[in-house]
Amino acid sequence: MTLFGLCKTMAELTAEKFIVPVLEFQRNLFPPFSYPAGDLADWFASEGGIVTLAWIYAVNIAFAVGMTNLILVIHLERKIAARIQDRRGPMLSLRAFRELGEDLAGEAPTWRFKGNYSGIGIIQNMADGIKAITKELIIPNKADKFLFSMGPIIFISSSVFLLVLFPLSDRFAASAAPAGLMVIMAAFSIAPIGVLTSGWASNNKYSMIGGMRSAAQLMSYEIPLLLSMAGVFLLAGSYNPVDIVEQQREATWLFGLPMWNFIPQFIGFIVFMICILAEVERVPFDLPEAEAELVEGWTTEYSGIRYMLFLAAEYIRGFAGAAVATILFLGGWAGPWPVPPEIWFLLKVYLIIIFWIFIRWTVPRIRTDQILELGWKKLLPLSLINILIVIFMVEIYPYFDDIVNLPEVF
Amino acid sequence: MEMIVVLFWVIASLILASAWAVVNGNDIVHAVVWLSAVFLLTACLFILADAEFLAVIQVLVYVGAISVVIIFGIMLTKRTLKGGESA
Repeated sequence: MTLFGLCKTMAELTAEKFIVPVLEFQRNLFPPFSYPAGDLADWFASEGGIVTLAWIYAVNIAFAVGMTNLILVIHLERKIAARIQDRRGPMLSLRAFRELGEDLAGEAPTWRFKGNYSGIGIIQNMADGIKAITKELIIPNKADKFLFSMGPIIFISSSVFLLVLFPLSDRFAASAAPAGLMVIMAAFSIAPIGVLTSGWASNNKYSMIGGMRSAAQLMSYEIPLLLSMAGVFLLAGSYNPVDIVEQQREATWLFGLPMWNFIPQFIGFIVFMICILAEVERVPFDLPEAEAELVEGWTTEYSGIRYMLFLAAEYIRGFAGAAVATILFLGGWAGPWPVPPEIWFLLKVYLIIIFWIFIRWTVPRIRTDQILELGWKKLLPLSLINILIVIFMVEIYPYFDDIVNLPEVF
Repeated sequence: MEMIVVLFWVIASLILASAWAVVNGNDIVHAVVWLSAVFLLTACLFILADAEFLAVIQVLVYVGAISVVIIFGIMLTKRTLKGGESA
């Protein structure tokens, strides 16, 4: 059963048992002004209404799963960062709430569990969220008010949109676009406009330099990124994530081992991992918000919930980038049987994210002039070589079909 | 009137309004943001015409690359910070 099938059953049930009766009741409530409610009831009883409702459910479920993963990613980042810096990170457990209540009531703490501060600290995220929501939203006096508000909207909405675009497996998908990966890349590429406008509108030198660095970075990584993806598209003959993963599941090489795309296209894999790291603006490519040089760059003037949503959107982009890398090169949800495919997919995604977190806390930032040189002089030729290798492989593999087995796509 | 026709006229009038804002705005950066709105709404028109791939490429190329390059070019020109020295 697919996610959409499940949602369609749910939609039929809710439409039949709840929505249609309520709307039929409202039809004759204030005649003739409430007659549109009856039209709406007819629409919800028809096929189109049920399919629309089913898509709404599917998107919401995928969104909820993505937001849960977002909390886990932020938590992982904190804990691993703390361990790399030889501290423990957030440790607060739920039992510490009792002590907090006693503190607020002015009593001496009587209930002091030994385990109060030895939990896994996942409620630290809740505390941060409450803090960010209750803080004041400051708009600088001389800022461009319109663009200062538009920048976060562009950046955050295009990033949250990413959450529902990639499938967790061939049955858990909220998007069935035939050009799925191109849609993801298009959604990725809207965000730099938000970065540039909010950097410009802040009326702050450092913010503007951050925005310009973002544009310079985009110009250097976008072309090698899409060219390194082209090899995978050539091999699978499709832009659809399901087709790409099926191709990797069927391809085999020595001893019948699975040949995921990172084996024949190792150069493309390396280029793609570097470029997607630049796309999601993580260290060593966090030039736009270099906190040591530019005081958080383009986010300097933002406060409260806007700043927190910027951070959350960056983690969403990180998660989506890792998911795209998994689909393209690491075999997606392919894996041995007893573990469900969704878990395989998330395991691979979290492997990439943990690798990124290790990179973040161990390597220095790249310089602005170096990133242009890296993108145009090194990654672009390498990605072209990767495409050549793929074309060569597709052409000559019939002569080696005792070693390599590729599924027929054309 | 059919739903798709209503949607077409809504999107078309939004495109015209955004294009008007590109031409008549005082600030050049505002003009580029409205221009990217024009590109995005054009992608919506392509989706209405059942050309999803064209819509995706429209967003990828025009919004993701051309608008950013235009904004980058504008930001490289000399600009005075409001209430401060030139930057």
